[in-house]
Amino acid sequence: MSPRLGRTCCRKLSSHKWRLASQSTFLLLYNSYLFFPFFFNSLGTNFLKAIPCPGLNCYACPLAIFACPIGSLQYFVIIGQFPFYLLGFLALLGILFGRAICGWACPFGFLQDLLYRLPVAKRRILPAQISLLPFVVLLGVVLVIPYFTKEPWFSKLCPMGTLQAGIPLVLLDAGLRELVGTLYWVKIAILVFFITLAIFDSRPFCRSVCPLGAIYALFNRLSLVQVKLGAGCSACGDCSGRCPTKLELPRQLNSIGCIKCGECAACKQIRLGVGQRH
Amino acid sequence: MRAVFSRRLIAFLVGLVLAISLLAYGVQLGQPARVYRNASILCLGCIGIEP
Repeated sequence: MSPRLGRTCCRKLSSHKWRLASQSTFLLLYNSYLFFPFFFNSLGTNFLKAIPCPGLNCYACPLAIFACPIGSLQYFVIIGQFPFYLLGFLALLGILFGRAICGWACPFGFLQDLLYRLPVAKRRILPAQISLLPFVVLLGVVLVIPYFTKEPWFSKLCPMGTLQAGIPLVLLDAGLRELVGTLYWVKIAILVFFITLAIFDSRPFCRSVCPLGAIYALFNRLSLVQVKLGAGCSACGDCSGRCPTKLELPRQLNSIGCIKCGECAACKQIRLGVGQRH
Repeated sequence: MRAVFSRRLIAFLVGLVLAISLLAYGVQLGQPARVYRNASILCLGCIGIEP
């Protein structure tokens, strides 16, 4: 193995290792009810439920200790109050980390990453033109439709809710089982659809639906955390093949679709860091 | 390059101040308590059940 190839592999392994550790830690942190039962009152909630978690994690999950940012946002829209606190919270995270949260701290992104590692033939199913779809979902399904219908429509369709709350609670509670209807099976179908898609194409939900990613994407070019490109880049495009969101690199580094995962940093001309882009 | 960096830095600082202001105003309005109340009630929509 040449010294250059050896160094590249070490950097790639290191990035994988750190990201896996970060994603696992955040998954456990968001769902750490069993680790801190003494914090909770009889309703199974504590003061942490006043804080939204940075990633997409359902607050109806029996293990969740934080609030869901999108569920909370819809709640403010439904009650007709401007969500200063939530937008401030999400904007602060966005301005500091941008979509690095999607790459390093989102449980649903983590699940999709794990599914994509399954050893089956990979295909490019989703076209590149869908990059603006999450903004349409944010505007339509999270803001406008809930405002007029007074129903949290994104939560009603969210596959993470099905996985974390719908399936376990319906299995555990006979009373809830009796209430299962069409909506439940629609949600199951949506979950199965995205799980199947994630085995063949990487991060399909993040690329085509996620409204939380769309909020962070607004800050991606400004955020403190940036993917930096070295002056010696020859634009060989080798990094594009590693990008989980299928971006055209290095042109689209830090664009709205970039989750700042650092997979492209296997190339020594690219690194994930703080501050300037170059 | 220097001018681009300055523009980005200014945008970053304006964004940071705006985000902290929004957050602080929301806290002052008592919105975290509303988030807590909403998160404490079982979200039937998340489960996929219509009452």
